[in-house]
Amino acid sequence: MNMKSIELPEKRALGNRAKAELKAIMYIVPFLIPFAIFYLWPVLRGTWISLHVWNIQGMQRYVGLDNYKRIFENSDFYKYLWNSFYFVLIGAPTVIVLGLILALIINQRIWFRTLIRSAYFLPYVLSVSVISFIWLKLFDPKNGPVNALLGLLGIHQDINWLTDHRFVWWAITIATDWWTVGFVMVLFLAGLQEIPQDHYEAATIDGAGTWSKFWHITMPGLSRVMKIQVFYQVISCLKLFGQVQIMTGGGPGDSTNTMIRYIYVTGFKKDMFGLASAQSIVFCVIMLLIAVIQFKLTDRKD
Amino acid sequence: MKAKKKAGMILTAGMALTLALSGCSSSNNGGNDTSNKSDAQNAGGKSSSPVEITFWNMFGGGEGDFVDQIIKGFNDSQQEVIVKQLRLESNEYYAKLGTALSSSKGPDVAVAHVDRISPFVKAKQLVPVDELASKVGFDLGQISESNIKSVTYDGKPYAVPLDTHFHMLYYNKDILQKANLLNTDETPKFDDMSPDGYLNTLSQIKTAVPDVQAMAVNTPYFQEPFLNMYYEAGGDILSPDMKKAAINNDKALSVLKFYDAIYSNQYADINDKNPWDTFSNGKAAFWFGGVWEAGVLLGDSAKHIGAMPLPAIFGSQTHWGSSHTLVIPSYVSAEKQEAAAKFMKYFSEVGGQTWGNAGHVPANSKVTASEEYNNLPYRSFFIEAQKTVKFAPQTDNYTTIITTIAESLQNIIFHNETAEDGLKDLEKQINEILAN
Repeated sequence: MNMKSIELPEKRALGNRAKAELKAIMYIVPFLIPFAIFYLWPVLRGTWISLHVWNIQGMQRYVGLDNYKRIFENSDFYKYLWNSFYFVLIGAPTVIVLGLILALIINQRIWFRTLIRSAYFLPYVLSVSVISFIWLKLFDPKNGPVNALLGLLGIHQDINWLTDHRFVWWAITIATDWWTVGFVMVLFLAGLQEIPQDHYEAATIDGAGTWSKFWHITMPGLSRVMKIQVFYQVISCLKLFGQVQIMTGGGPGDSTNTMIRYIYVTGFKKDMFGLASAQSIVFCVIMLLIAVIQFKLTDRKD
Repeated sequence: MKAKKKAGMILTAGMALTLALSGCSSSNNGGNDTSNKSDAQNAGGKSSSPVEITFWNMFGGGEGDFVDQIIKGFNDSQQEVIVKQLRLESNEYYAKLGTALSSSKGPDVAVAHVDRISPFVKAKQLVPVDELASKVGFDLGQISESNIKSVTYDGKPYAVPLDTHFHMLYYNKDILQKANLLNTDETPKFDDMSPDGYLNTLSQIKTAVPDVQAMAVNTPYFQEPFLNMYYEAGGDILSPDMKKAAINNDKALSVLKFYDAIYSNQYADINDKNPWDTFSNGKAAFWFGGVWEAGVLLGDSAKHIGAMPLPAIFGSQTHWGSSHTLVIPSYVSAEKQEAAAKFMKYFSEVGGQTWGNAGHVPANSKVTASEEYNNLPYRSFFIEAQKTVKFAPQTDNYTTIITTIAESLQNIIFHNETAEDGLKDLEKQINEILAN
């Protein structure tokens, strides 16, 4: 194909090329227009707002980079940034491990396989507010089923899941894992089904045990899916908002206040849209950096 | 196997259907759909079809039922206007109302607290109500003078005040009886009126009736119980010229220590997320509750609940107060503005009585003078307590300031910060807000 186009006279080749480019552009236009209107424009507008004091009465005055300076001088920013990352550290690994275990179980020939798979996937269909209210009730210290269950298991002390510093992050993690584990599981299931059965058969003949089969065949076979999962989970954990907003209100105190909730409160509740826009831009840059680093790391291994 | 697959599919389909359906119903409540529809209807110029207006409010729990009654009463009383309400969660109400007002999409008439309207008025997002009122024959002179003054900017009223509301001390007579703390006239028997005296009383209740909270404290909205006692102690949020914070002082500190003692001695449960329900269900002896809860708490005599003005624990009777008002956004069409004004007239003149039943002290002086109102239980106490309320400082930044206070106080009561550091930090934040 390439050979042929080189043989053509230069002018015609150029014309063809322009045509092809135009065609390509035409193909992406349906995506590009909504992307520009609903993503690029808000980002640019947000950047513009972040350079001003801006409140409910609209633009007040231009302050340059003052908003950014205020962000970095406020210790709350670092605290809430850390909270967002803390949730990545506990949320992402747990949901990936749980999802993998579920996928491995369901991949076996067990009874009611489809039913079980649907049951685990169902919560993912619900919206964040629905799952948050469900778990808000479940974690109720006095009348909640979770403490009642623990009572049956012999732990009679009422655990204040949502108002005790020691438990609140776990409560959020449990609720989030329950909600999203189905999606993780389905991706892993797809990955598992791509691994050829003859690898396992060959390993069995060679006398490999279950554990070494998992470690040397399943895990490498899942590595591509795993990368996508980690990438996706890190981003979605960083974006934690709905669960803490509804279940804890960022509390006790500000223990579960995350970056997104910080931005929300600054903008919509404290009416400081300029500062909130600056916070979003900063957080957006941080997330982009993380995405780039992850991309580079996984690329190198390939 | 096939049967199982089918079961799974049906389950999923059923779930999806429920979600889709609930999605539909909520968007119908959203107001925009319905208002567009009625626009289309009215475009024909037929005056026979009623004007439909959307009414936003944040009245949950006890008050909500009374608002429902008023709206139903209004819709049944005439054929020209239909009011549809959208009830929003109170903690997020102003985030949503503010967004609606600045994006010109939302309610045709809305409830707003008097201390929140100033920025909306200055941004020209609300219409003055005087001309509209006279158009529909609503005499604003009925509204008590102090109430109308609180919503007047440049000589024009921008809202119709509905009430004054504040907190009372509610008490459970059964629990106090068990603790031997009930006088023969069914009022609580207090130790001497001081923080220590009050804590003593709570301690007696805890000893005598250990399976209830001696006092339910409004931990989720802790700024309210805090401000009540802080105002009693003579404190202020801002300096008299409104240029500096005035909250970092010994008075605030002693109030915080007082509540901390209540929590740490387990007179109140800091983990209780619904203290109002706890008290209403007979599981707490005392409760600093809003007058708006009176309809529910005092209306049911089986609950054996009484009410009195907040005791002067920190010295004075001064306590927190605010006022609900009705406002009309400026993006609303002339026709709907008039419809909204008719609703305002009804809410004030006729609904005022129902509103008084809910517990608020109505702003319409004709209602408060009526025999019907004065025959309601404990209302003489309410009128008494209304005299000593302290309203929010008149600043455009009140929304920002009160949110900051609410957040800092949560940090202090949950011991993420010491009271001293927390107050210092709060002072700094408020000063920053005022400087900008």
